[in-house]
Amino acid sequence: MPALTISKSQIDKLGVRLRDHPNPDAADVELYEEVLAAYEDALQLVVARLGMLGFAPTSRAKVLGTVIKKLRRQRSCGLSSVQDLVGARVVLEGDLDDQDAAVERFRGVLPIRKVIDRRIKPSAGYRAVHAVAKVDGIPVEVQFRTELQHTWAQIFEKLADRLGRQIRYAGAPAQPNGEIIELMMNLSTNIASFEEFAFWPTRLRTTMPPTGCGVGWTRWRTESS
Amino acid sequence: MKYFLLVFDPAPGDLIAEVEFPDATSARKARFRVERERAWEGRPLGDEVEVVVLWAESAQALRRTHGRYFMTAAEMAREAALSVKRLMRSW
Repeated sequence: MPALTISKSQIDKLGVRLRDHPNPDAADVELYEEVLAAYEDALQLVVARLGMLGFAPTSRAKVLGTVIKKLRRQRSCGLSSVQDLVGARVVLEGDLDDQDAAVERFRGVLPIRKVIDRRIKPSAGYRAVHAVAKVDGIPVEVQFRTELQHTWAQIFEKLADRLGRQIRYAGAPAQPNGEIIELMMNLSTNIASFEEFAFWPTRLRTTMPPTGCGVGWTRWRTESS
Repeated sequence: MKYFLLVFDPAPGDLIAEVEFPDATSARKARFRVERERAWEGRPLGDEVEVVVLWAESAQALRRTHGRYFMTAAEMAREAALSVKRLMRSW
């Protein structure tokens, strides 16, 4: 089982030092590595439970540079509160209902602290469901994506590599790349509409929603459930 | 489970290294070493270069879930088109 050798407040103090120093101290880097080792133990357990459910997740721990950038972007966020320091990704062969069912099955094998439904509230076009499990106080985030949501996310991440990762957070089109960002935002909305409509069970599809395509479908589905 | 150390330069999309490790600990230690040295086999790494460890059942599974490390944007677009075709057929 994971064994954190330092307290939550010590982790947060470490986060502040990493955030505020242009070049992190060697001792702090070493301490971060110790923290991450404990987090990876927690991740091992989550991956094992996902495997028991028949999922084949891939997993990763955040690199130090990414963690520091996140702490600088969200200055009020303590290092111990970062939910995706370690995480797993599951790409589902199924529809939105299967996605909901996957999260519920996961809830059956581990306590889930939080579910972030980015289908209802997308982040810069990104749609998925994230479930944050807690293992001995350590948060481990699991991304559940449908194949189309995943395909979109992969292309957008690739674009972020070329255009700058800020497009994943700001969302606002940054000229001269505004056109392609807008295209991706529209594609995200269209994928959501397609998934809402095309993969609904027939019994639901026979009932028309009160609004047209696009976000209205998502809103209607949420309000109706 | 397999453990892969990747060294990736995002702007050109250059996968500098892909090394498989038998366990998470040795992969993590190798990653921290590369991060500290900011170099791979004597080649200095720029600030933007990512050094990451990913766990997956296989190299193929890793390529499916983390395609950005392995495919160009054009290849990803082709994969996306195939996914949509597959889904349309299943509908």
